[in-house]
Amino acid sequence: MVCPVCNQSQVVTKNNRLFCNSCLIYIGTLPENAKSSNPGPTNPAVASVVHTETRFSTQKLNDQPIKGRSLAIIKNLTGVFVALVVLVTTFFSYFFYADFENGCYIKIYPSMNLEFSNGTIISGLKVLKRVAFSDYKKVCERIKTIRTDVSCAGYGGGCHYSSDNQTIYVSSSRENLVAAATIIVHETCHEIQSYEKRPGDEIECYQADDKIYQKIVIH
Amino acid sequence: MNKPKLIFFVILFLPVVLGMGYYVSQFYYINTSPPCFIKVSTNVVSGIGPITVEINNLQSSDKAAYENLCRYVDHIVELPCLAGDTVVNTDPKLFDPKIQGCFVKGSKTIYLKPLNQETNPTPDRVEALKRYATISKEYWSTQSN
Repeated sequence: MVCPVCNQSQVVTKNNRLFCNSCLIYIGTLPENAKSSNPGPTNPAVASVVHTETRFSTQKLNDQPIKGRSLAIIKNLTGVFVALVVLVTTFFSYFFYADFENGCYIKIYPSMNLEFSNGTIISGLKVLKRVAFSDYKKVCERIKTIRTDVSCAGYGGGCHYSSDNQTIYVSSSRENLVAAATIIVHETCHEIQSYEKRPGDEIECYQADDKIYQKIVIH
Repeated sequence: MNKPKLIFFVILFLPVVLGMGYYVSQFYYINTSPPCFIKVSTNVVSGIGPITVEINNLQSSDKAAYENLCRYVDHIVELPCLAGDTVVNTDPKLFDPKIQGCFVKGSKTIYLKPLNQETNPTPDRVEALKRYATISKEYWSTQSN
């Protein structure tokens, strides 16, 4: 018989089921009396039985392949969607620090000098969260953006511009976790000075980062 | 998958796989038995060779310390480590030449003092690895997460 789905190729028996070589799908089952004990490619005897004796409703024939195909499409789409979500999340997690528990959300811009230090900045924030929570809270309250470009303090330093609210520059190297954590605290100190309309006081901020050094480093 | 498709994928992905393998071999200490995977940040000239030898020395001399290192240290940084800001902190201990590195609390990162002229591994640094791995273990054993 001709496949009722594609109307192109003859249906054959395979594993005691009806198979269309054109659609590459099973389209139905053989009746008990037509089943062969020797499964394999086309069995002419059985094929003739199918052709002459098998009668099944068109509805049943059409339902099975459509369900099968829909399931396959849904499975494929789910896989693509999950992969896409993982990719997008991984990508954006490099540019955002999010701590939902403490309501801390900070954008971290990549550097033009290709230092790729965003990961170290995120690790520095995590170190502060675990070891110096009061300083971490100040960072979360006042800082919305961290830029990793080289700025006024040069490479390996940090900077805060009073004109650039809630933004600090941290250009520590990719390896230097201690520098990242301490510079974040130092520049946050300047941001707080600016917010409180106080003049910039370097000594106050050096003392703030010195405290962090002593808290996080064990010789 | 038919043969031309397979060849296409091999040509496409082989350089990526080889590149990743080269990157990992240059920047990570890897051992399978016992499992050990540690990122190593060092200067390009000496490479990770000396640190790899030092870690292997630790493995042969002190198995427990080696296991601590593999479990509680995920990043070794070859940089000097100060415990204070030198602008306001004048404690002479900051510059003690005997200090071989440090452990960074809240992380699994340790610093090791860079080798000077010689690129040979030093017993002091092996001891430092052991010490900071132990400190990291003690730190993380008292933390809830």
